[in-house]
Amino acid sequence: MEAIAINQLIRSVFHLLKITFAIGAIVVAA
Amino acid sequence: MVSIYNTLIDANSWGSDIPASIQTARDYYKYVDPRNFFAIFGPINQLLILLALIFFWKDSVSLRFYFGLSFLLYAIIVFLTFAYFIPRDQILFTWSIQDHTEQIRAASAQWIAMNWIRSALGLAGVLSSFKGLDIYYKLKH
Repeated sequence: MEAIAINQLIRSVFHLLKITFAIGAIVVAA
Repeated sequence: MVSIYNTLIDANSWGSDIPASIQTARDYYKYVDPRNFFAIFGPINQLLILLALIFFWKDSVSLRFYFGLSFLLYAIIVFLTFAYFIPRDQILFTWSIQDHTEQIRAASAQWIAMNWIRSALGLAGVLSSFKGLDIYYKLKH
């Protein structure tokens, strides 16, 4: 159970990191 | 938007009444060099789109394409800046005005015309990243 929660947390952080790069590039370029 | 502002306001101001207007522009930029801004935000932008390309690489081929296209378009902007704009910046801001009025006039007109292309490349890069994000969210939900 804990392992699943940690896995989900890592996935969420990774997802946030990815969209931060993509949106950051849009904001800086715009 | 910064690039469009540069064309509509800055470059039109420099070129509006050469030689007087270019002297005014040189006086205005005497204490702060506008290149300081682009030297910071240009590399940050290139780095962010490179990281996006790397981090979205495994999600799908179309994401690779759209973020890769943005990266390529921004790289073309960097190339254009060094190959086309900086030589004209040199003419506009360092050459003797009295001896090179015609060259300065020509450089100003060329700078303005090509900056519309640079702005269009930037817009295409932004739209391509939008499309990439759109595909990503459609894949996830």
